[in-house]
Amino acid sequence: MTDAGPPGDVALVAAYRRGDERAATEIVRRHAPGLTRYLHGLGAGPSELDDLVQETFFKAFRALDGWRGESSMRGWLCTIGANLVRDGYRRGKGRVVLSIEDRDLPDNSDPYEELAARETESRLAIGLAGLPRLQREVFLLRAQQGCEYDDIARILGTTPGAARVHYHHAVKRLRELVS
Amino acid sequence: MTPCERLSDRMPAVAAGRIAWTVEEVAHLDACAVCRAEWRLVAAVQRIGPGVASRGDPEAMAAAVLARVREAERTDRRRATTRWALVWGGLAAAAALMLAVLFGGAARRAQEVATTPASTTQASVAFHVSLPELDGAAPDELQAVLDGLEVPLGESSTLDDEFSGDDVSQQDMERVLRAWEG
Repeated sequence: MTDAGPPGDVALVAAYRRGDERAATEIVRRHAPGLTRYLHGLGAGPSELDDLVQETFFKAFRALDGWRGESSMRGWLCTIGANLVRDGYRRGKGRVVLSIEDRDLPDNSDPYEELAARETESRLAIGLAGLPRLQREVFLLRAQQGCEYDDIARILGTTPGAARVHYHHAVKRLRELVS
Repeated sequence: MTPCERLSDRMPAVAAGRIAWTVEEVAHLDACAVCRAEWRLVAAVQRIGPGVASRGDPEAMAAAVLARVREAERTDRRRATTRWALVWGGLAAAAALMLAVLFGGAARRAQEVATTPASTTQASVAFHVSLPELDGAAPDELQAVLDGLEVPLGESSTLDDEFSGDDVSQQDMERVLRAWEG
């Protein structure tokens, strides 16, 4: 006998389409934290994060027919969220500001290491804001969300090779800033 | 694939705590400054945002999202109904207009056919009465005959004017009635 484990995103979406609203709650519970961090990494301020995350899920549930499970649910949600951030930026409705006010402190008690980690995060946040859009999105999808290059390529409409190149360019530029 | 690329590919999973470095990878990290710098970035980006990520209540978020989705679906249905009503109303109006044009045109054509000279000729041919006594009449005489026929209705004499019946005897009246009744 095997342990079935938690249902996958495809199964949850199918359950939601059949009218099971608990499946929708599970999708939100599963992906909201990662999505929030991603949007925060893209530059959304803490004050607008809740609205952005809610709007992302709203648009996703309204367009579930457009998600066929070929790319990861997390990557798909991140794309919708990134588009919302971009639209807000274009309209000038709330300037996109990189905020690190709500970051968690690293798990160490050494005040010097803690200070160094804070400094790194601060520089990283500034560096992310200065990256070209594709490099920033690829870096966050890869380093923060753990998406594979194939998945990133599908999400951003590029090739896995190009996604890898964008990632390495981003790493190079960020390394110069953080080091 | 170089050791640096292999290490780079595994960094997100290690940073997320899903896997751990092997001994060889730790040794490579110690020796390679480029990989160490990348690892520092990947580890740092994991630390950005957990605070903001954990502050919301997923249940409340899901409830709010689903309420909005249901409301949007209701609005969609209302819009679809209105749109179909407009479509059907437009089609009905177009059909009514088409029928009016078709039947109006047919009636007008029938009226025109009834009043054309050709139809008059056909009618006169159909009801032709031979009048040999007029064959030798001059145009003036024919015109005089026509003028005599085309007396306006108001000026023409009628039976009522001409025959009131006041000066007819009872016997004559009965004879006329018997003749009418056969």
